[in-house]
Amino acid sequence: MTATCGGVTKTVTVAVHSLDIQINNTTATNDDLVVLNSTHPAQQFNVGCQVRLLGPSVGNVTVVLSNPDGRLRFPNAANTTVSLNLDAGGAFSAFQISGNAASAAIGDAVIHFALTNGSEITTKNVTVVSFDTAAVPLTQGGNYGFTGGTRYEPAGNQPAVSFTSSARIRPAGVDCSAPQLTNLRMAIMQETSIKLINTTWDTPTVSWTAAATTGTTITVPTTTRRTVTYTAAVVQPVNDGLAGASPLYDKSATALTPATGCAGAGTAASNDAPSHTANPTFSQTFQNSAGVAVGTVIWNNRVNTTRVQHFRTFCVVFDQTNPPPAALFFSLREAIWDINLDSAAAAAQHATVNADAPASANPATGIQSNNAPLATTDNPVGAATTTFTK
Amino acid sequence: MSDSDILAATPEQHLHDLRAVYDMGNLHLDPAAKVGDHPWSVVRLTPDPHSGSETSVGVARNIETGELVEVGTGKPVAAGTAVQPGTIEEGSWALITRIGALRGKQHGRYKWIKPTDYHDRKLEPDDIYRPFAKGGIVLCRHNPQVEGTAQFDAVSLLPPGWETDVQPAFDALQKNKALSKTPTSAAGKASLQPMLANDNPIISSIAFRSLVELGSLDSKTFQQSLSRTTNYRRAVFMYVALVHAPAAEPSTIEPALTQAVQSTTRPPDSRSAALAFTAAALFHPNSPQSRTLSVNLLSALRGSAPSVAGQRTASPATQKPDPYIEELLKIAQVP
Repeated sequence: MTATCGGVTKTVTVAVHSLDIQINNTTATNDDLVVLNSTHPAQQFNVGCQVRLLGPSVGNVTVVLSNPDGRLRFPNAANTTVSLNLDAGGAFSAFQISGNAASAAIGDAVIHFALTNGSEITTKNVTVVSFDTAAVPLTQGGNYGFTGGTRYEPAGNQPAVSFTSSARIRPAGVDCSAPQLTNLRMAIMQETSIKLINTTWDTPTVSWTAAATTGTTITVPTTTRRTVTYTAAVVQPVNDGLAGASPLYDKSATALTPATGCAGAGTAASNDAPSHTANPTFSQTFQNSAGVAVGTVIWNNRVNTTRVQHFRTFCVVFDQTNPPPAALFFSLREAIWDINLDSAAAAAQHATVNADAPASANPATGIQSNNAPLATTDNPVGAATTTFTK
Repeated sequence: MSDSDILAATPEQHLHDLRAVYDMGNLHLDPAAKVGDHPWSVVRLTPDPHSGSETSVGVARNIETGELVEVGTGKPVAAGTAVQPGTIEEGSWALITRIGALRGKQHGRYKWIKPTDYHDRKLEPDDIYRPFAKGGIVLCRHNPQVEGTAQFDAVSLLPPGWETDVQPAFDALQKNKALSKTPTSAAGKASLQPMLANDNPIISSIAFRSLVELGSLDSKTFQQSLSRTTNYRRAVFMYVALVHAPAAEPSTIEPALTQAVQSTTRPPDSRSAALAFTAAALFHPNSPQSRTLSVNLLSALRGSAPSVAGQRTASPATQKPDPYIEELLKIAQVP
């Protein structure tokens, strides 16, 4: 550009830059979004982007990307800006964004593109998607009892606890069919710990075999107890869920629903009914030092069966993309419930449930409780013994 | 017809009967299938007193040292060592019928220890009633030459009186392909209709389930079938309708079942209905439609069941409840 003033003529070169900016590496704008970083577990959902110079350029151009409102990072926590050297020939330069703070409205996370001298070239509007009004309410189920005389479970084969999981996607109007969102579902995760089952029997009697000679004596504890719990090798809490659902509690269609605000929105629902076998009698074979069985002692009366177990149920957002992405889930809320059951107690036995609260821990993953190894041990209860003599 | 009078059942028998209704409602017999050395048999099981007892697999206690030892070797098991929990099933069996192979052992013993699973799992028929621990007459594939659990395969508990119907049922299944393989043609389906009234409860139950599963049973035929059946067969029909009807067809079964409950005047019919609805509610908790309907029907039954002693009285409050039905309502958790 040439200008003359007072007989003085000056010529300067003015560079005009035009940028092609693609969030999620597409020209579409409905996917100009990124999911807010999660806390449990701490992870970010980086979105790949690219930018290039449009038109001929006399040389490469360095641009600085920034987001003054702080909703975005490029992509890690410390990356509040990023510099890109754009190719004069128009090749794309890649960058990534992550969601640092939730958007209040569509497109309110603005990326500023500026030259190194600070002069702004252009901006790009992006949305940081988040979830609010998350809830995982628990409902106490039925009272425990023996079904069929041996199975200790909520009577009528009903749930001990029912739970739902729901949340609303924000900001309103976000396109849930965008690739970053289309596979996200409200889901349920659960972890458990303790799992201590005791069953106690008394009133022993003996049944001698033909090999038992007169005078053969067997002394047994009058009361015996079988204890079942996780082996010491099991790291607690343990992921808990139905077969094939890991890391979720339940992968059925009713337990995986789009968030409120998306098409087909619903409340993910499932339930749990911890139960175990407590046979009415307990038997043990007795043999002599020659290895010959001389009798079987039967403890004929089941005194009680008890069970203590702790549970934490999570409202999670689950990415059901196949193959599974690295950031598979994140937790929004949690609710704790317990069982502390005694089949001989006079009062009705049932689970105790608590109100939900913000997630305070990462849901356990790894081996499911139903696959975690258990240790079974038998021990006398008290010092009383009973002696049988043939 | 050998279906026993359900009124003869004691209240303690309700678990046996629940299991039997479940097993008959899900019975699959294919006489053309190769059975090898496990011919279909009807066997009476008489468990030993300690059958069903909790125990430890492979260990015993030494009477002199008091130590836990390995059964086979007598080697001491280190104190504190975890044991493998199991349930003893032991007793004697006596043959009633062997299909197609009359010779062979007529009676014998069974003995094994089934591992006890302390992991959470869904309720299984054995949780309600274990034939090898509590006894009964079972239809199974049986090889008396084999030791352990492999001696018995495909075990189904028979309702009282049905044991004499097994051989005729196999004969009919061999003759009629529509009965042994679910028919696809209209003619095949039509050939099942007359079998609903067959004297043999096994034949009629299989025909009924095929028609229900095919969605070929209209409400009127269902009602007529119910009106002709009593006792355990009626229970099996109702159970099958509840759990095997296609999900899209509640309009077929619900009115007929509701009508059956509302019009019940005979005590045995109330017992049949209670058995069927309890079996559906208990064994199929994840089928919300059938469970909800079953529980609703049980609730209706509680209000309308005639007393065991006789006909419906003016006020349900003055009726003496049938203890057999009360046990079923209790197990199904119907208030």
